[in-house]
Amino acid sequence: MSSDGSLLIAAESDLLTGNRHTTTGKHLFRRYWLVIAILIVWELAARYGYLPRAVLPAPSTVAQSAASLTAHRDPALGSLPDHLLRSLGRQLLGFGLAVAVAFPLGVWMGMSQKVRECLLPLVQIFYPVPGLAWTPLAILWLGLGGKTVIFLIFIGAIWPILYGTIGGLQNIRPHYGRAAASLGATHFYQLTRVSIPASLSMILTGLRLGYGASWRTIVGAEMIASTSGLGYMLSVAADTRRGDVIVAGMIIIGALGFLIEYFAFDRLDRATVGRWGMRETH
Amino acid sequence: MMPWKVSPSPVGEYDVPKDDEQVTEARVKVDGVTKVFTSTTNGRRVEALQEVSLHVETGEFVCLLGPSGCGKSTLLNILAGFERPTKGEVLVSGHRVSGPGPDRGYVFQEPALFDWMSVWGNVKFGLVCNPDTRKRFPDPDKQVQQCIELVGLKGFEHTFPNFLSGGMKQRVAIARALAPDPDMLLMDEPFGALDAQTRYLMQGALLEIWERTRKTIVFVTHSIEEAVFLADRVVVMTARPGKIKWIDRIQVCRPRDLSDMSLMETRARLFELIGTEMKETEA
Amino acid sequence: MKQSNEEFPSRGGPGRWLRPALTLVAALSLWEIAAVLKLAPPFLLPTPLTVLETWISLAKGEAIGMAPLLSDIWISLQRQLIGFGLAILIAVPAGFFMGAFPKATESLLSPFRFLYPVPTIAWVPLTLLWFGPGWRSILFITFLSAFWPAFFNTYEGVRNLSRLHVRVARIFGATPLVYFFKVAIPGSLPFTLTGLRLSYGASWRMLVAAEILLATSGLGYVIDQSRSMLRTDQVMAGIATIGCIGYLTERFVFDALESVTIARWGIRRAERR
Repeated sequence: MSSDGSLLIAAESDLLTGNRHTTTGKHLFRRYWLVIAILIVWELAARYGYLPRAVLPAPSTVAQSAASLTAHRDPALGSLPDHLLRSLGRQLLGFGLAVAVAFPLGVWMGMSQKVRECLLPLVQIFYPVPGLAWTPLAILWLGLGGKTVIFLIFIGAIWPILYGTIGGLQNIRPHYGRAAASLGATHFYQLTRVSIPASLSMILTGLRLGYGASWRTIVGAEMIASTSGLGYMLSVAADTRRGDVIVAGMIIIGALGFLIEYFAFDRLDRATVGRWGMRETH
Repeated sequence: MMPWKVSPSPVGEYDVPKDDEQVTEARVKVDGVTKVFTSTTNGRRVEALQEVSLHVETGEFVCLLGPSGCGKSTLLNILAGFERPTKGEVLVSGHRVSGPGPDRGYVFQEPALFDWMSVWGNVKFGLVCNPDTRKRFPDPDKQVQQCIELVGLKGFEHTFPNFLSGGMKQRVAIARALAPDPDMLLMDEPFGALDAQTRYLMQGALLEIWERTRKTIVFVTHSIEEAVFLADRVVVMTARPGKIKWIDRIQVCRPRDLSDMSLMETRARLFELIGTEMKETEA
Repeated sequence: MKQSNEEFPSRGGPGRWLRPALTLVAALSLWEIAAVLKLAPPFLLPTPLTVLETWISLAKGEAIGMAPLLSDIWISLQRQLIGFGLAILIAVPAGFFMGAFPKATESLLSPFRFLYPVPTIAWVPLTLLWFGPGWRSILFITFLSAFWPAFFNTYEGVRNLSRLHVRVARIFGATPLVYFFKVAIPGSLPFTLTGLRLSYGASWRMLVAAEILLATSGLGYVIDQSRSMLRTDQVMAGIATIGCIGYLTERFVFDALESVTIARWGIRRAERR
């Protein structure tokens, strides 16, 4: 499991944060000149009418709309900070719930073969169902609104976290356990001080994937099942053909995901697995 | 032409003492241990050890020597409590071995250090990981410091294992195993993964540690030089099924010079004994 | 994601089927009891048997106002395959090329870097603006979701080529063309296959979501319609179908693909711990 996900994450953090050693001006320019050029062309094309507003408004318009939505509350679109906070809050709640359920369950399943044999098939049945496919069922059961969104985030995030935790605990090198046993460690001590830290790499990967899943789910869930939040804002903007708001929303969503990934997960990774030198370099 | 002859019977010059009186002092008593592994996939039975009996005195340094697959590691694991004998029993300090425990420290071939703890954390682990040991060491930090200094790693207390060299990692492993003051130390080819020079240094370091602590040590190796350099007695084992073929007592003073005449004779003798066993395994 | 039991080894023997089977039976029984006890109104909590019957009738096309389930499945699969196919057609060669010659294509990577963090679903409104509701939008979304994993995994795969292999190629004076086709591409195949696998999963997920939002046919549409008709049993049947197809394709198509290529060459799947 981790094979698939962690590779993408490695690619992601490497490519997104870039090579930290070459951030001199010349290197930055060589790397980003295309983006800058595209932005300039885009702006000019929109200004001079080559790009109809319905297709892609100018970057300046996008920025303007974002600013005005932050400052004022639009009757249809609402207020940007408001939507932002709602989405973030729901996501934290949903993701937090997912961790609170999936992590202990994963530890239990990872440690006990009997439990694993019983429950794993159930997990394998539910895992392939995409989070958003649960939306109609969730709406039937929980109605429209925040509860449904949180439920969907929860359902989307638990599977990767479960897999990551179980996989991590299963793939600990056996001599850790033997070393702890020969030193006389109690079961509890062995679990908390040896088994879990030893599997942290995979657990973190699972958490990251779960977070990514929750981020994807929340946007879709809010589009379908809610009357607030960034996803809702996007769907209203689509209905009212406000391309500028759509693009602004997309950028904000993308940036938010990236920032949390960088400030939360990368930090966590560096403080634990990185500090211990346990990360394999690629 | 060698002045000695390899006797065809299993055990060599220094027999296992048959008189029970003499062995009440023995730290380790292995009695008729047989170990049979049964494969779960195809039911095949592999007899790793066959009627092995051995005594180890307190403070003795014993090497188990033999070709690959001869069961020496299995015997060590049975002593450690990681495996149970199919027949026979093992007594350590008069108590029957039923599982691993801090009275028998174990050093693996791979250091098996906990990467997420510093050197200090690793060595301290054994002192705080269960309530009994905690009671024995109300002030663990002193013991930890002593053990770290004993293995010559003063100044590295707060380094993390992945930033240490192979030799240093094994020193930490030894310190960790020694911290709870075990009755004996079990070592499974601990220097096998190190380069030749580090291995030489580590052997010397181990002897120093042994001189200072006088722990009983059972050391598994497949290197004749290593066995002759380190051990009071060398136990030569046969190819599978493992039995004791020969026990050699080396009474040369340490530090030993491997070019010493009697040691060279011993080495030649052991070489020939092992040679025949290795041909068995290859067949 | 790997789903076979290889990753979570259990004992062999007949007992291996016993526990999972018992758990499934237990779970189904609990469900049945809950439904019979009417813990929730029957239209919200149908019994397992009802769902099964509904599934069969859906498959046969007996549901009111809906085409046979199989035609919806086929439509969904078609869309996914086209989107997925287009995506890998572009993403994989691009990944190979940009991975094999990173210095030259460094700047090309930057737009990708900026676009990648935006989750595909956030593209739906924009897509709607551009293509309107209908199959074009769905195709675009499927394409987009399949693109990223395929591209990045291929890219990383080439970049992670063993240095030794690259050096050997250079020692022998291989031309860039030879290096590209005989070293870079085959050497990074495990990563590429992983990327394809992830792409397929991602596009399936996104397809369902897009269909819920945008479509007038297909599996996603089916479950959304069922919801508006308050037919929970149909919704459950639909969800089960979605899950099954996702699982079956991944298991059979990709495991088979791998066994024919990399397993035959003795290379293990790209593993990162």
